[in-house]
Amino acid sequence: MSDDLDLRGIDQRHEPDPEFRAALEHRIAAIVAGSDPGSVTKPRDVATIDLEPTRTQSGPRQRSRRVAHGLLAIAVAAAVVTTMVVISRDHATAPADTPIPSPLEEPSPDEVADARSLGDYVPGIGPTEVTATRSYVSLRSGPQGWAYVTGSADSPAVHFGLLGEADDLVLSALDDRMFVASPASLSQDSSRALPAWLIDSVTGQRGALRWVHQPTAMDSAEQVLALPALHPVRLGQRFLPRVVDRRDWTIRPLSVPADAMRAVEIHQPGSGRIWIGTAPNDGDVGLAYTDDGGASWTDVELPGPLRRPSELIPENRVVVAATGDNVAVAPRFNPMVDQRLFVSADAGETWDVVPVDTGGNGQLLFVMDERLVFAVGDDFAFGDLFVSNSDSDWSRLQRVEDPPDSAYPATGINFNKGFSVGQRGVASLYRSDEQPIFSTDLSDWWSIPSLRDVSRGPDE
Amino acid sequence: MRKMAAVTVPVEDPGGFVDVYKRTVTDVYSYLASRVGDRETAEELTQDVFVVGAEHVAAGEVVDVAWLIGVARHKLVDHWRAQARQDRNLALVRSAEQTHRVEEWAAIDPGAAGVVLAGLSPTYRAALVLRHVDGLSVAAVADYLGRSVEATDQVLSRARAAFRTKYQGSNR
Repeated sequence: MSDDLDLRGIDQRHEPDPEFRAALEHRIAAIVAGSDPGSVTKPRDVATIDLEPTRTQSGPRQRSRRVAHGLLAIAVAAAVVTTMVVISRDHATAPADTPIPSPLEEPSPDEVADARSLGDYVPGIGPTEVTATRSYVSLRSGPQGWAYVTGSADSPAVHFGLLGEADDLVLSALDDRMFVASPASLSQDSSRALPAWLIDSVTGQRGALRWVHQPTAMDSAEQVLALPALHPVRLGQRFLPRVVDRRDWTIRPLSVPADAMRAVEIHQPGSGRIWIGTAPNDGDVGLAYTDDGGASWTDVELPGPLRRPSELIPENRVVVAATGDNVAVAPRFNPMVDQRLFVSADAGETWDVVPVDTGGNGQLLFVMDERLVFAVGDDFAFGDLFVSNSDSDWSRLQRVEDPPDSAYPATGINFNKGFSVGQRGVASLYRSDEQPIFSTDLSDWWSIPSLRDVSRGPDE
Repeated sequence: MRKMAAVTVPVEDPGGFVDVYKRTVTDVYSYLASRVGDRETAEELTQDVFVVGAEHVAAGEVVDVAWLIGVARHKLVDHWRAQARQDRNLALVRSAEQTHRVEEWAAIDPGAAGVVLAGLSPTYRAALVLRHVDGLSVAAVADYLGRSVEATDQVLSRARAAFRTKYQGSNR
């Protein structure tokens, strides 16, 4: 069939259901009047609150501001928390002076049965995270909702559980044992914001984290940056790094400047220097970093070819990988913009261009063992994988020869696995023929030694 | 593409957006329902479009029907993108059956071109709809899908072949 295929005949007039039409009109009128009664197509899952961080002042270049945690803010936060409908968590309403118990609990037998009934957990199908100690959590979805399986490469014990409903989940390892599963993106409809779950990979217990609107600066070792990697871009939303606070088992937005841009996807380790995307004065998109957990930020300009007005960002996506002073930037999913990779070894003061032929497709950047990993592909296919020669010099990349199929994706669904598998330079995943579960192994399916060879060279 | 109602007056006050909604909701819904073939999804995406529009207007931005259709197209591509991820996630062969199919389809095209389209993978569906229903250039389709023009050409070629095979099969 030639290119002149004409399918315009399917383009017909359809009258919306009168009830839907009237309900949506009511909602639209409410929104423009300053309130939002919520979705008209689905009942609300849980009562939630707007997750937009508080806007704060920002300066043109170097700015330093402290986040005020005054009495008023505390009072507001307390009022918000007490009005939330929390998912089956008795401790959520405990008095402030009562020790807050861990939110973890055993899945019920029915829940485990439902989770197991989803069938085999096949590598590459659901988000998976593996830690350096080779414990893992893998997610997959089914009619009952999102299920998980946890375990360790060093133990035959596996655990199953069910997480409820979500459109698309991502998984983050908080440490070598604890994981967070959360919606891949925040709904534009605040009434549909979904919960995040904490999962213990050793015991298989799980519990809901409470969303709290109040932004926080990471000022405690008990606070961990969660979901630092992918946040799919949606119109009108901003990049929102999230912090898991173990002190009260909440998940909160990190305090960010008022011009923080969610459209910039940043992969970075969850501690130390933290990077975000920005658009100062609604102008060109840039970056900013903090060395004090979000209390103050330093602005960084993107390389000229990637400096785009923020209004174009939904179409001109920018991906970033960063750790310490090393930062790399590339466009994603836009063949119309400069496809080069830019790297900096001085926190964005100067940029080098890395000559990598991307073929004009989408790209991902992430940090693996302090090295830069550059994956080229798109939402529907996989491409090439490049790795920096060393952890200190990101300007020299080498193509990984013959990576296994689906081992590195260019989309969020497998991104965490790709990152996690290589994060510590160890481990791989394979499907056991005896048990329909994930396990980890050092010798099969994903060949990490090929990455090691890149950094060490053949004679070392 | 089917012609839209001539609502081109930009809205500069939030209250006026309700009038724009009344005048364009059928256009936006029709655009989406024709392409997704699923009433519930069409309603959900329609809602998303107008919520974004309302927020845009509330923020002092100007909105018109062309802008709304542009948002609808983005929503459509996002929907198919998510569907493609979901397909991979479930690792199941999708059924051509869909719930709540828009009833008018059968009457419009007994040859079931729309049904055949709905039975294709989200990737193919997105490419074919953008190119052969919306009439976008290959470069524009590539932009929406986030692929190179060359890669998009290949997808379109494969999508047309898949459509032809299923379409011919459905008419035997």
